[in-house]
Amino acid sequence: MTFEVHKFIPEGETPAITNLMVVDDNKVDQMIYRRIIKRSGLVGTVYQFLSAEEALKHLRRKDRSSVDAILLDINMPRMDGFEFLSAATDEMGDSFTAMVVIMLTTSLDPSDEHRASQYSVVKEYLNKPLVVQHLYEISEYLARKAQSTVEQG
Amino acid sequence: MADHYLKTELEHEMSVNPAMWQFVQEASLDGVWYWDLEQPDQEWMSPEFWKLFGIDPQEKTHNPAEWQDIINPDDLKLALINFEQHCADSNHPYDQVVRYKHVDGSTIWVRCRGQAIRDGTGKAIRMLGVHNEITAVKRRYETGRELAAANSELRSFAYAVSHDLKSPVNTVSMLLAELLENERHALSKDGLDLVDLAGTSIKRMQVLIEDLLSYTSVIGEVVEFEPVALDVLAQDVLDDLRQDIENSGAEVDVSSLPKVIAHRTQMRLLLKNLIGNAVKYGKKEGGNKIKLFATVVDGNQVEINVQDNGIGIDEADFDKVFAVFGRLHRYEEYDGVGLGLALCRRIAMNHGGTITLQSKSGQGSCFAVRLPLMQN
Repeated sequence: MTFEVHKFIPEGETPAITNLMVVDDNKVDQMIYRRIIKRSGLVGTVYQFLSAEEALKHLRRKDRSSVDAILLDINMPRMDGFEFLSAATDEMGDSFTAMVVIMLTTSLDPSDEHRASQYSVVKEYLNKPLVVQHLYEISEYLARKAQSTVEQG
Repeated sequence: MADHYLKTELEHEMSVNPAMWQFVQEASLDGVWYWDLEQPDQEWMSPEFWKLFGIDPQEKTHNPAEWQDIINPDDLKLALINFEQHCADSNHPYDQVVRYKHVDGSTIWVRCRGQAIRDGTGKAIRMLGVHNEITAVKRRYETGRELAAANSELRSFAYAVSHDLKSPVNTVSMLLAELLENERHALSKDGLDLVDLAGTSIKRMQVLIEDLLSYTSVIGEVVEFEPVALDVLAQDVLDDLRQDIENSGAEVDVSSLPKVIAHRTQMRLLLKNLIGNAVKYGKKEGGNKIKLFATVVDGNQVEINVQDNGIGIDEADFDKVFAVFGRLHRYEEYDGVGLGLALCRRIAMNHGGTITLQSKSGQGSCFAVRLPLMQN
């Protein structure tokens, strides 16, 4: 397996964010994310990918569990965050755009934020470092989204 | 309509008085040539042509092989193609810019034009040509292009470096936060102080990287101008700085500001830095008053003024505050990296404007930026 899965909240309980994918090529950053995510108590299972290609491969799998949110870095070797967004949108269409992507980046280029806003799947643009507060915001967003689905449904 | 009498007179004088023709030639041209196309090894060249390349005209024998030896081979090909086409069809111009080699090895750029003189059947039998030396123009053009390329390379380099620096700095910042989160109880007071100092240094590094990036983003940038309402922009900037303004207890007074033709992001950076400085270097013990106002100068320029009654700047230090990384205080007294006013000056320059300073130590400062005013 070329990515790491960590289950923090046991089956049967309903965490605020059931399945979270994190795509970032920096191994140390990924280690810290894991600690912050675990400490938050908000995430059921985290799937950590060191490359966008691996993340895309995972999304293609028919037998994968559902994905609630993706934390996505922009600057990565080979396939960057934007290429990942384009490839996933082209291949998977609505089933991808229904997910919640949060850009998590050190990018200093203001045009990157503008570019990210062009993708409807991108719901938030955050600057590193990741803090627990960011995870609260994501869980609140998911709760609102679930609520409006119920109301519309 | 008959020709003007002076034109007729001039043509007559030119034909009988060689000194007049010589004056026109020497004053306006860098060489004249006259080629016998029936005896193509005969081409009279005026001495000025050879002098362009540091060659003594006395050594030359009016043989076209002589200039063909020192012209750039690619340019010679182009000239010969144009020559053949012009001889076949007088509508095709003989006109090209070519390179010659000076005796000192440097390149001399010459515009070379010519016109064939034809016999009764239309056959070209002579060719009259002129030279204009344009090396200075070419060099300026080349220098401009090289400069633009160098600026652009510098900008991408600075961007890449800033970005690659920011990433590990962020990682260290997160590692320190994790250390405090999990090991706070295990650290001694001394240990906690050291971690705290590490955090402060990292924060400073983050500010430096961001300021460096703002600065490089405006170097030689091709800016697109649009109408910018300065009063709206000033309000946005004040919102951004609200926390700092409240902490300093400063009173900010904004008079009505005009619209200017400018680059929006750069104007925002400019106001943010000037107002931010007024807050930072304002009167410490309260009573800090900051004024933002504009006046129209010479009917077509606007002068934006940011005035404070803070610590002021000694006239001897005026140049220093605008220099890249120029600072007057230690970081512990006033934080910052010394790029803010360098950035402001660069932005004023990008807009064809200026920034000036009026200040006295201890008596506040007023920065004045002049920009073209939006007409209407």
